[in-house]
Amino acid sequence: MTFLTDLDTELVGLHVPAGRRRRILAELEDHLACDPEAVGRLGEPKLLATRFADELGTACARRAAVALFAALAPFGLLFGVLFALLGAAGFSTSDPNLVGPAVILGTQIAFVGGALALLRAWRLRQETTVSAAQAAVVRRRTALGLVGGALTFAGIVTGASNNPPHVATWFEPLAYATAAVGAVTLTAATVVLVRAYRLRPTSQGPAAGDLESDLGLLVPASLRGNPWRLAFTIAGLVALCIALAGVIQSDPFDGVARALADAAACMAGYAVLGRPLGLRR
Amino acid sequence: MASELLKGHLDGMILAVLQHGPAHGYAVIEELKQRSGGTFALPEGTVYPALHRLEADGLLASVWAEGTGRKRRVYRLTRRGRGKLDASRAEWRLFSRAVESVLA
Repeated sequence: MTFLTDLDTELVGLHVPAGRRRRILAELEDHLACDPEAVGRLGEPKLLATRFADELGTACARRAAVALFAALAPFGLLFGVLFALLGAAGFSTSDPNLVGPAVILGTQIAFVGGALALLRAWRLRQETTVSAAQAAVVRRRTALGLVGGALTFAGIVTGASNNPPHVATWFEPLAYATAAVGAVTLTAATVVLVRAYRLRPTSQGPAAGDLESDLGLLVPASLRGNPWRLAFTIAGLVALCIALAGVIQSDPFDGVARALADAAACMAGYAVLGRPLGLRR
Repeated sequence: MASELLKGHLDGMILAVLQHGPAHGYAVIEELKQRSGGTFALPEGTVYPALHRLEADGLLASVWAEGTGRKRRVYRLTRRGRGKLDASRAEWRLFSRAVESVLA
């Protein structure tokens, strides 16, 4: 049947997975068997294939963000428990053998990427289709979160394999168990993200938007329309929290140093990744 | 009726049709036509992508069924889908009352 053959060709061109294509064609074959006259009402094969790609691509992008959250939540929880237990047992958690740069960077990147991906997916939750640019932003944010998760995983494995002699004996098996959970959940999220990268919406619709559109009314009026001022304010708030944490931990100088480093990292990230991540236009 | 007007309500109407029991795509379209007295003669190509998306969002579930010698994908409402249907109904009632009070 020409209609189904043409539709299959269009679906292949839009990278609709083979299993999904077979299902679509079987359903439409049944539809046309019920009513052969319906071929005119189904629309042009190209239009129908694009509609499938747009709607399924939108769902895939959203699901990737949710899958990342579902991956990072148990991993992050176990990670938190691991280091809380170490602290409670009186061991130093600032030992660079245990918490190297990969863990410090990775946890922050994972948090920022995961939060931004979920924020955008939540904002677009009611949309049946989103534009190619908007879906790309969700995918890139999700990918960033996964990179952060992978860095954290690598850092934990390195910390466990260093096996510092002054740390409790239970640290190594618990760290490996945490890493194993991370490996499984992050792999599952990666599979979902790869699917989202394959099946993408094609609609040219609205532009990617920015952080202000994500946060909506949470952005004070004085910061609206000025993305750099908004970024500076957020970096300042992050720095303030870190500096206060330093004061609480009776190490204000270290707290201030870390606050300044984090604020600088925030702004550098915003300058470099702001556009691809849909934080500024 | 203009398909643009229908677009925002298609999901809710599909969920409402499936509330009464599982059905395959063609039956969903026929039921939509029948229950609207022919008013919703929507482009049939819009329903299948919506069914697939609603399933991807967890609002529908589907299985293959053998009927009249052909394979058919039969859709049913999930618990989440039922919740979404209730929310869509409440939203529509609020909206239609507001429009009615302005137009009346």
